[in-house]
Amino acid sequence: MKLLTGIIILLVLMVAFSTGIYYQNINISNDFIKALNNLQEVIENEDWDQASYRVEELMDCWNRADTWWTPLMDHQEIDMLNLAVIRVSKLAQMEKREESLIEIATARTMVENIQELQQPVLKNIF
Amino acid sequence: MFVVMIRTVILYILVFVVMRLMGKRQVGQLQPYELAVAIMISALAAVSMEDISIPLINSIIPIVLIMSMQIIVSTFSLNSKGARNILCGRPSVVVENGKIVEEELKSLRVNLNDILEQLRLAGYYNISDVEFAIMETNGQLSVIPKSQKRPLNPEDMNINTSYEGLCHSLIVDGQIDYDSLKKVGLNEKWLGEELRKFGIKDIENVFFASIDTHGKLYFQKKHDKENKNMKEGEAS
Repeated sequence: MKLLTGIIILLVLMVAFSTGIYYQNINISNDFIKALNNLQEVIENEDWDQASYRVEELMDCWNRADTWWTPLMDHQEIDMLNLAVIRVSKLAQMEKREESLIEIATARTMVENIQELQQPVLKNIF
Repeated sequence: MFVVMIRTVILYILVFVVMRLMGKRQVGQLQPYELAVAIMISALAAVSMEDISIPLINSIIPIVLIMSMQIIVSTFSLNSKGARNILCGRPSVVVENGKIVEEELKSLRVNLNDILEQLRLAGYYNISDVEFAIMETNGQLSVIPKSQKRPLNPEDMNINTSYEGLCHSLIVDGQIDYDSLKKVGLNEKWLGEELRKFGIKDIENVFFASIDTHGKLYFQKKHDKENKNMKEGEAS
């Protein structure tokens, strides 16, 4: 009976942990998408001074996301996202408008995919 | 490489703990679903050991979850007959009163050759010697021979036998088993004195020592090829 009680407590903790991780991931990805949108906006206006601040903002978001996501998600997916973020930051620093916007769109799609894959819906389960 | 090593150690410890928590059943006594659970756990651990692109948590959570469900299901089957019937099934009588039950073989999808093979493995080469054969829920065949064919035992001969209990190990590889010693109401001093009578001063030189229910002490010294050391004494 002790073991069964322990197991039920463990299951409750696991569900709580999974729920916490799920909402944390949603928050992180929302912040990340917001940072990408902000950067996109300033790049579209070719405001390169502001873009460098936005890149810093994006890198802060990415560092936070990387810490949380690496132990929880496919490492290859995180590596690809890391490369996309680095490309965005470098292209923005080099003031290359079109290329930056393409990379921002790629990074945003990848983050959206991560967000979507975490949702406990039938589409993802099957 | 270090990452693989660390992951392997973590998963080994996890699988070890999970298997210990799940129970003591031997592989041969597993129910079919328990075998599937054991295979699933080992596969989950093996995949994450070799592929470092998979987060460790993707193996840890399913393994812990499978263990939890397995323990819950086992507890249900222990406490509920209905759950036990669903999970483990029921034993099937395949030979009844010396006659093969064809319907049972069909429902089990077991052919006659399989039954004959299992009977032979159980030591019955002639099916006419068998009164009952029962296919147990773990797939093993229990055989009850006809009364004239079963082995003779003392009761058949009206022979009185004395009680035979467990033989307790007192020393294993030079180490005293204090729990066993306490269980038989003896102590280290007694053991030392008994061994000294045979010229053994240090218990560490004893490879194995045990005592039976009649108080007979058996011991074997380390690196003793002749093994002539047997002592009969009263356990007080």
